[in-house]
Parts: sequence; C-alpha cells; structure tokens
Amino acid sequence: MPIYSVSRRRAIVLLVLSSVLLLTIDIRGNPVIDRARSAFATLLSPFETAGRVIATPIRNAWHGATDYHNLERENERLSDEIARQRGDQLTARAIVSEYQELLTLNGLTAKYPTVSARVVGAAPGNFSQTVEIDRGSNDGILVGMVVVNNAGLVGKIHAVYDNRSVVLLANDQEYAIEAKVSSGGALPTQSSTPDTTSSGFPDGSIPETGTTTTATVPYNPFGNANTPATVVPGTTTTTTATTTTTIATTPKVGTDATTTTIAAVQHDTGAFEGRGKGRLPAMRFVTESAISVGAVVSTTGGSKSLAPPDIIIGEVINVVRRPGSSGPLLEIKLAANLAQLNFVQVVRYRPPSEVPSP
Amino acid sequence: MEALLRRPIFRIVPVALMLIAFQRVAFADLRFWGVAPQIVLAFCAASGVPGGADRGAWVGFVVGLMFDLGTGSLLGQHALAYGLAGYTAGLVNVVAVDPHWWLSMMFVALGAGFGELSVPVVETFVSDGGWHGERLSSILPVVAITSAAFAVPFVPFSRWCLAIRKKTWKVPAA
Repeated sequence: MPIYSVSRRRAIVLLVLSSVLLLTIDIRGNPVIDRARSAFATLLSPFETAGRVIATPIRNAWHGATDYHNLERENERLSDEIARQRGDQLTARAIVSEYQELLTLNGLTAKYPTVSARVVGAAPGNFSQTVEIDRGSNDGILVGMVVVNNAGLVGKIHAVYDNRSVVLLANDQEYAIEAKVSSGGALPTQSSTPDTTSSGFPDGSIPETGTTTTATVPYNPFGNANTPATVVPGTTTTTTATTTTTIATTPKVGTDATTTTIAAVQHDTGAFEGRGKGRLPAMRFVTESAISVGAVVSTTGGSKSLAPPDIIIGEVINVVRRPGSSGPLLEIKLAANLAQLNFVQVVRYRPPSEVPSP
Repeated sequence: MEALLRRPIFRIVPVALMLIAFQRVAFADLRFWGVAPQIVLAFCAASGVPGGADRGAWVGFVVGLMFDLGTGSLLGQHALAYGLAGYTAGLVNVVAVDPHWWLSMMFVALGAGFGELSVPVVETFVSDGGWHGERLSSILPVVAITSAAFAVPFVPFSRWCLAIRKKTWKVPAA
C-alpha cells in the first residue's frame, strides 16, 4: 500500500475523530464511561495480581541492584535524624497536648473520620503524578477528599472505583488548593540546633516543673505529633502582621511567676499549586512580603475548601521576589515524601458548602 | 469457532490486559532516571512494523482505549497517542520491504517517541496540566530506547497477535 492513500487517510481521520469524541464525552463526565471503568478495573484485577506475583522478585532484584548504596546512605541519615527528632517529638507532644486543651476549651476541637489505605500502584505514565490506593467508594471515599500521611498533605482523591481510588499527588500540575503560610513556626530542619535558653527545652527533655509553655503550632487534626513547630521561647516580637497570635503562659502554683512570650505568627493566604515532577510545588498570590524561608504552609479550610484547615503541606524553602503586583512566589518543600508512600489516610471531610442540609 | 478465536482481536485483548497490568505493577516502579518505560506503547508501535500503518493505528487505538479505562486517564487520550505511535511505526516501515531487526527497533523507537510526545500535547488541550517541556528531554529518549529494546520480542509477538505470516522470499523458477 502506498504511503498516501484514501483508505489510509480515512482510517487515521476516523481514529482521530473517535478519540476527540471520546475525550469530549469524558471531560464532560459520563456515567456510562464511569461504569465501564469500574467493570474494566474488575476485569484487570486478576491480571494485576498475577503480574504482581511475577514482577515482585524482578522489582526487588532491580531495586537491590540500583538502590543499595542510596539505601545505605539514607539509613545512616535517618538514624541521625531519629536521634535528633526524639527530643523534638517529646517537646512537640507537650505542645500539641496543651494546644488541644486550648481548642477543647474554646469548643474548636475538630476531628475528622479517616480511612487508612495502602498504596498499591504508582502512575503508569510519565506525565501525571498519581498513585492508586486499595480503598474506594465501598469505604465511603468520594472524589475530592484530601489524602494525608503522618507527615502531612499527600494529595486528593482524583477518581474512585468500588475498591480502589486514584490519588492525585500534591506535586501534580493539576493540583491546587487554598493554603496559608505561617511565618512564625518553621518546621525543624536537619541543621537546626536545640534552643537552650532559660525557658527553652533542651534536646530530649521536657521541663517537669516551672513554666508551662504554650505555643501556636500547625494543628494536626489526626492526633499525630509528627510535625512539631519550632518554638522560640524567651523572645518578644513586635510585628505588623495581618494576624498576630500571642499566647501567655500560666505559671504553676508554687513557682515564680514567669511570662513567656512566644514568637508571633504571621498568616497569609494564597494558592498552593503542584508544578509537576522534578519541580518544587509553589504558592502564589501571597501578598505578605515578610514571608521568609522556613515558614510553614498548611491548608486554610473554609466553607468551600475540599481540605479541612491546618493540614501541614510543607515549608517554604525559597522565596522568589517578582516585580510588579504579582507578589512573591514561594517554593515549597512538601512535608510528605511523595516518592515513598506506603500507607496513607483519606480524610472523609466534606466542606460545609457540600454537606446537604437536613 | 477455532477460526473465530484466531481473529486478531481475541489475541490482542488478553495480551493488552497483561501488558497494562505489567505496566501498572512493575514498570511504573522500574524507572530509568525517573522515567518509566512504556511497555504498552512499545507493543502498539511494534504492531505497526509487521501490520503496517493502518493496523498499527487500530491496534494502538484499541489498546490505548483499554489503557485509558485501566488507568483512569481521560478516555481517548492514550488511544490517540498509541494510535499515532502504531501509525508512525507502520508509516516509516514502508521504506524497507523486509526490515532487519535493528531497523525494526529504530521504527519502533520512532513510533514510541512520537506517541509519548503526543500524550502531553493532548493533555495541554484537555486538562489543566501544562507543557512538560523540561522533562520531555529526558522522557522521550528513555521511552524511545526502552521501546527499541522491547521491539526485539514484540515485533514477532505482534505479528502473531495480528495473525500475519512472516514474508518468505522465493527465487523464481528459471
């Protein structure tokens, strides 16, 4: 057959038109296609199980050959980090406990039901950042629900089937969410050193008597204390921030009356966006020019936001100042390691605007 | 019944299911410089070499549709990309009557590279995902080279799937 022929041209035109038609129908949302996807997932399931059995030894051999040195180095680094974080964790636990007491006192306690899920597959392609989890609509998962792990935000539910869901990771180009950046409490970094001022907590110890320090920390609504904020006690800060939170401490009976002023927290809201693999996610539409490296980024919540408030996203590691009125661009290092996800939690939260009124 | 089961569609569909399963559970994780080899795309491109542009395009379209259904991507996105991959591989194949194995590898690499390139092109039109310009320079060579490697088993395999007999050359009687 010659390169250019009528039948060949007709075939390729038909193929392209069919694809465009299907794309158009699927973009608009179609229940028939959704049902076909669910049916196909069921059909594919035994093939995947068989494939997993065959592929696991190959995958293990591959990772053993290529990742051995990386794992060794990472193991050493993690050992050091665990030692350092042991102290931070104890400090954070005390702080979170106090903070939750305050929330309870103010009637602000917010706990959201979660569904634990296991990551069973990575994105098969090279352009979208997704993972697949082993829970679906049978477990009450809906499209849009936020997905977290112990470190912080992982992404959101992109597609739901009966017993599996696809999670769009926070670094995907299509991911965006309202976020706030709090410049007062930076996440601990490897190079940080413990504060040993008179009212501070030395590494690995919690004060038993004396002052009780309360700090504003990014609240983890799932009861984990893995993302402590760095408390900077003993400092008094004067700020011109839009929102300022200062909490005075209450001395215990029988001790000297002491007042500790915690570093004020400046909040500013903006849009957090993924920028694809190999590029750091960023936050835009931030107006506060005083935001600096190390500031904590978390979700804002709100009546229309798909995520509840105060889920840790990450920390600012670079501030790109831009001319004009566009404001700074904040490059964010995610708290969760999206390259190594094993177990995640789907937060069964629906924004108030979507909950049907009784 | 036997003749019915020998029809290409009854061979391509189970083969595609196996390849999609492998892509999802194995090759999504075995990455070279962060790029996942595309085994399904390689098969679609390889089917264009023995089958020609038309059959390559149809195989790519059908397998791509299955891939879209299995991975949750927009229906038609990979169907279009994989169809173009099969078409391209078949189109360039006409330069050789009976291509050597290394020439087949090059055709499959070209088809796979073109197919992989069309994925973000389509994505740019239909979703919020932008152009992956910087990453394409690493994705395309890796996908093309790995697809070329897969071409060695896939070209005869796709010939079997399409029920095409290998060309035999006879010396005309004197």
